Amino acid sequence: MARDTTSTPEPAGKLSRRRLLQMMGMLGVTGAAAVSGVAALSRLTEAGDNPVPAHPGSSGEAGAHQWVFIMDLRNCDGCEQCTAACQKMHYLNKDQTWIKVFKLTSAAGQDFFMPRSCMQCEVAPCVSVCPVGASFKSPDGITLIDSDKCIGCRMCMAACPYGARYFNWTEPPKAPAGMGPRRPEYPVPQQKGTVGKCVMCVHNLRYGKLPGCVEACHMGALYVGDRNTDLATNGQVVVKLSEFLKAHDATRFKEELNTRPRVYYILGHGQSINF
Amino acid sequence: MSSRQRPWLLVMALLVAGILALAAETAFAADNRPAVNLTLTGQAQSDGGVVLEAKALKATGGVVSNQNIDFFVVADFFMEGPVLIGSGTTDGRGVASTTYRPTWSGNTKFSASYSGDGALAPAKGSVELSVRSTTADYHPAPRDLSQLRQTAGRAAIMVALAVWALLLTVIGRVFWIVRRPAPAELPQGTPASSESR
Amino acid sequence: MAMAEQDSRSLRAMALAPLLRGGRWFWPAVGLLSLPVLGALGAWGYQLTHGLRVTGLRDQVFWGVYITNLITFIGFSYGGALVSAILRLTGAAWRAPITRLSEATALITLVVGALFIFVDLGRPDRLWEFIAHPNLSSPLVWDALAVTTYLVATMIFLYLPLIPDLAVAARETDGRVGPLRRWVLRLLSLGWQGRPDQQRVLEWGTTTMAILIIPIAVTVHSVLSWAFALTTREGWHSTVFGPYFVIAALFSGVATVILVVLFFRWAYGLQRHIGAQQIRNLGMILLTLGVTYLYFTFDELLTEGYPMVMKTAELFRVLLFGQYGLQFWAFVIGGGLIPVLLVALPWTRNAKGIGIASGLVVAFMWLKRFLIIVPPQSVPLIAGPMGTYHPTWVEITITAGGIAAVPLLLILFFRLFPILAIHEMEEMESEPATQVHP
Repeated sequence: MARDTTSTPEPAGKLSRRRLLQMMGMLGVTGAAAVSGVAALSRLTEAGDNPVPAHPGSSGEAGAHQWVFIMDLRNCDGCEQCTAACQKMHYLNKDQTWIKVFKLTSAAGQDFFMPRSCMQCEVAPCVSVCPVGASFKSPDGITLIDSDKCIGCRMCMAACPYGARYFNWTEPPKAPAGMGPRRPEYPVPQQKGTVGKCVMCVHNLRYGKLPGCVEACHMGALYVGDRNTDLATNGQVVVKLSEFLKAHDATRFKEELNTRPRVYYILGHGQSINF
Repeated sequence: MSSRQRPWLLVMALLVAGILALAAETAFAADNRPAVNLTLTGQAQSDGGVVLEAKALKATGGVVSNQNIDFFVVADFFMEGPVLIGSGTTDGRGVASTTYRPTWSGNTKFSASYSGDGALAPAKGSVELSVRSTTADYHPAPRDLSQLRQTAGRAAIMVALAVWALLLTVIGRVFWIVRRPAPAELPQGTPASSESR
Repeated sequence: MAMAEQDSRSLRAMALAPLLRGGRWFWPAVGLLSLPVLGALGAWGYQLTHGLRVTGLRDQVFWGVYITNLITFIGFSYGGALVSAILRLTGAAWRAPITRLSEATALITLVVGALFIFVDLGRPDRLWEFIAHPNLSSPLVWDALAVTTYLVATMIFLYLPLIPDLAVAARETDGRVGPLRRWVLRLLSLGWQGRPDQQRVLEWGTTTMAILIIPIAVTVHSVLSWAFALTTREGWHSTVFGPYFVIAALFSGVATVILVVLFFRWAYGLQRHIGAQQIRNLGMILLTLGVTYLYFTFDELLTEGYPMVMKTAELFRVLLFGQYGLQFWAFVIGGGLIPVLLVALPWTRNAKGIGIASGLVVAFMWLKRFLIIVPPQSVPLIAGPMGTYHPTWVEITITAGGIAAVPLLLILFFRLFPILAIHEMEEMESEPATQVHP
């Protein structure tokens, strides 16, 4: 490699001082840019492990509740009325099973059913990986999607360990007029090229109405609960949430992943969901 | 009585006797189980807890002791329904109690119920109290090393900014020196490695 | 001792020949290659109208051919980083005749690869959201940062040695090229005069870029791998993914450079400057990287396979023996063993053998990326049947467009810029120790 080191265009002293000033200037600019850049952009890292404050436009007293879901697998008969009710309420197509019922087999060889909705994880992987912060946690514990921000990269679908997210591969079914503005709490109608999932019908919850699936379950297998008031109901009875969970050894799905889901399962004899 | 009317009279007599027996039976059954009055009172504590006391007394004046009383709070949670909050056994004075820590504030209805047994009739009592929430709102606890992801993100930005600063320095310096006119102090006849001429 | 006047003139003539005369196959080639590119644009328009449903992607397998293309094409760009940067820093003078070809290939494959991101997005119209409020915890944001940084670095790294060459080109083609090209050549050569201070700063800049581009390149493919590895899916959540992807990129990148070098050497008759030494050395690098990549693949599979937890068993069943078994073993043999043998065995270690080996590597490394991306999505997360994925004509057409775009852009590139690094090669000749003898 050719290198011309034999000539010095300027006297050594002048060059080294100018060089020094140049370098200091560059370092200073770099440092200032780095510090201000990090400070300005720090607020953008909020969608990490910490919940983001209420999305503008949400209504109802969000912060007064901390919702949980309970699925009593002793009573689920696999009728899938929950799936149908959810799809009807949110104008989804048949593939979009925001609550989906799986058929499993117990150790004794008996079939049982496991409904799976969004786990509303307290430490949601989908929230961490969304590049535009379209997925966020509401103050009352629901993971929501702002489908106006979503760029449709499907990274959240890769990160979700429960497969709870569904993409709008084509134009979704039309919703009738007068449904109110689409917002993350009531994502109707869905948007083509964005992702959607169960929102625990938080649009209902905040106004004292049950989620569509809980309402539709004639077996009373689905409960919605509130940690703050320590109550849970399936529309037929009201129970004390903490007692109910403790008395029936309620467990969570894929607990070892440390996502801290807010959906609890009550298992019947011989049933297991940790495989 | 004529011989024609006698069978009808027999049937009527049997019917009346049957009805009287039935009435006596039920009256006897109800009577055998003395009525119980269940009075429910609540006392708010200084720490916000509520002590509920249910006093079970026989209507005839005796004390109902050693019997189980269930206590409920009437909750409005998407539907109105009783929520079991505790149980107690009546003591010698006929009093059972339980302590309840309310999870919401406001006028709240409580009820107590005695299911009865062979000897005593079931009874219910209720009271409405103004309560104050004793529990703090639930906040999800942060996970261990929860800052890891955000720190990684911030580190990424800082590294990127540093690299960009270097890239801009390189291109900027090359531009500047290549584009500037020949410096006058350049000595002539330098042993150039190659002259693009 | 400076390069002999005659040699220098012939070098320049050869370097500038494609610039002046495309040859009689130039326009037919451009026309032919433009057809798939136009087809791809049409297919993308169709996809934008009807939504991503026109692909074979569904909720279970939601990343497919487009993401494979993204990773593969960006991987192809690593040949430039290797040949131009690493070989430069290690003082491998034999690389001088191929640096221009490898740097241009790096830039073009990188640009084409990055475009596949847009094709895969459900809402590319929302890109502003990405810039306005990025979530810094997201691996995709790190991806965007890394790829744009790498893009700019590659452009600078290509441009710096080009400055003196463009000055030569502007001077020597005067009167023989149109006014537009003359203006571009003059503008981009920045008034280069070959002054010592200019030489010095160019040398400094090129060396600095060579040093910088290596960690940038390592970061880029590591971050791309983390979009998969930072999930908890079986087959993706593996600690080896960072270096695994980097080695894969270097491997397929060198193969790409070999193909480009062999093609343009043949098309423009550059045998005098690009000779057996270049091809043989590139072949040996390909061999080394191939063996390394096979080692990484084996390590990855052994580590996952030995404990064989339930989900791994389902994945392995389908990857090694089932739905994707044929493709997997085809890769091991066609993309691994055969290329390695072709280069290792002395009687196939020639331009033809190395060319075939490189062609196999390029094709099978695409397949390998596909096998990393798709089968882990097929494995159900809870219960149910294995997911299936069948790419549609839309995905195939757009991929074909991407594949055609690379040679198309390269051919067009060398109509504007010298195909050999004139300045660098002349510098080399002046130092006897670094003289290149093809």
